[in-house]
Amino acid sequence: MIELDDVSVRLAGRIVLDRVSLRSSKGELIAVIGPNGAGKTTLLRAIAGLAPADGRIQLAGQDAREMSGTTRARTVAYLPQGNIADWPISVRDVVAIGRIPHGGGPGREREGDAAAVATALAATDAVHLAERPITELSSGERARVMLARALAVQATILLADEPIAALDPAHQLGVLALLERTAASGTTVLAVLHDLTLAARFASRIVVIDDGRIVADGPPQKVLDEALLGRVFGVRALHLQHDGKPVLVPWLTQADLRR
Amino acid sequence: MPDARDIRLTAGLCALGLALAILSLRLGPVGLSWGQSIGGLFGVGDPIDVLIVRELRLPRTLLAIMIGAMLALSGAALQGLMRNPLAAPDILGAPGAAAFGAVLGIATGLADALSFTLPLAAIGMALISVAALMGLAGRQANIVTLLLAGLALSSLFGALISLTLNLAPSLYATLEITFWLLGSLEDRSFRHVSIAAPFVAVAAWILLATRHQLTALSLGEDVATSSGIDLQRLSRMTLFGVAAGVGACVAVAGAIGFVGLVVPHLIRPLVGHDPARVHVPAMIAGADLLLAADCIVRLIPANTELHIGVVTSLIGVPFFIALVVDRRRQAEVAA
Repeated sequence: MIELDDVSVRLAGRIVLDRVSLRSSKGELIAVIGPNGAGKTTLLRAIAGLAPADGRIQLAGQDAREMSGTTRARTVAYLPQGNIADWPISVRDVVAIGRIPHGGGPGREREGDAAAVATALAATDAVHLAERPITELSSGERARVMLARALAVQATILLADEPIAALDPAHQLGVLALLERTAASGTTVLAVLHDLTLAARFASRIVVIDDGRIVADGPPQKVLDEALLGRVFGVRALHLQHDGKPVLVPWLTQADLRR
Repeated sequence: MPDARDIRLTAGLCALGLALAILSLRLGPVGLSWGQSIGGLFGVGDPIDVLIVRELRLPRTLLAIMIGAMLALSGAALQGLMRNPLAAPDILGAPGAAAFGAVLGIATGLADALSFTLPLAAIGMALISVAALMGLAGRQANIVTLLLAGLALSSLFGALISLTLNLAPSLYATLEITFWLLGSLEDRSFRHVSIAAPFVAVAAWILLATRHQLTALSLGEDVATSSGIDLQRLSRMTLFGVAAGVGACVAVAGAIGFVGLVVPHLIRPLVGHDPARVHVPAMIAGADLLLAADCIVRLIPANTELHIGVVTSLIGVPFFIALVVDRRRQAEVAA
């Protein structure tokens, strides 16, 4: 569960996140959407304790300021963009890094670590990659392994920054279905997504950020209307319905419309 | 529980180290058998043999173990922290800085070769050098920036050593400093062991205690921090550990290059490339390498004993060239 009250982040003198307030319930899958540079990543980094934030942040009922680094790391799992891996560590060891907040990690497994790693590998369809060096994987395989690392933390809050950016369509659907199941098991999931249709398909709630502020927050059917897409993203989209969910295909930019 | 492969590797390296240590006790102007060497170590046998083994060869052997282990550990820690395989203390100028600190101490008369002031001067200068390097290049520096910053610092401290030599009060002092700079374990006593040991012990403890944090750092700073690791504290601890350890080693044995670069590289593939698991086997392998090099200098017939720093550099430079060629090949494959 996440509670944010008037959370602001200022980086290099510029306000990147401006008095953001947000309350999430246990088991929600929230898609965070917005144009590039809107503050989506900064929101996740502020919750994870990676960006200096003013305001009040409560995580799983505790004030984030009063949490130790380890307690916060056990409560919040963060999957950053970029999928950095400096050394050719085996995939199993990469996923085991997720157990560090619990005192485990590669080469020093504690009780429950092996099961957490195995479950995360299976959930992300990465069991067959377990012994391969992370640096030799394709970008899509690497993205799944990094998600497995975040899942292995078994935190109550999972923050995923563009988790499907490098994936093919089948694995995009697979990963979002996995995040949906993770949320259903009681974890609060915040995922930054750029694909509006997939956000609407899987998320129970959509938070729209523009220029550092939350400009819309609610169920996909209510949030993703034509006016918002024009105002925030500067696009006109084809708006369809399938299985009761909106299907949005960005078609024209505002500039196209003016021509 | 440590990985079974790590335990086997460590045990194998320990066995090799034990054999090399006993060989080191045998070698010298007075030839001793294996039995005489081991007997001498335990005070059994001819009193002259006991004296040779305990007072002359044992301190030298202990210094080789201590310095080899410390240099390799420093290399492993720096490479893990900077997430860069070239971040060894010598490439980054730390031993040069420590040598300058020590040389300055000797030349100004503030420290002599058998005082605790010498390692303090060396450690202080090594600390300044490593901090300057991090400040210049940044913690996530790419290889080019890192090498340039290291080259600048190495050149600076090289020039300062030359200046000190240039201004040395006598030719004898100049020769004394020059030979000392070549790095040697010859004629070292328990006094030298006791000067370096406390600093090396503290440095090794710091670097070993923080090693597990390096694994998370290999996935980037965000993953490390969100895993509960205080990166600023990790950086400070590592830098202090490297400066204290390398400074103490240089203070008693001069500049011994390339151990910190070569050994972690040899060990890394054997422990699955996990930066935390490199440390312990690298320490033992570093001790093994320096023991072997110190045996080699005593086995090669020459008018004067070769300096161990010369031997490690002769081993290290081809290795460094091989590393450059390998990276070039990797870059070509990636392109």
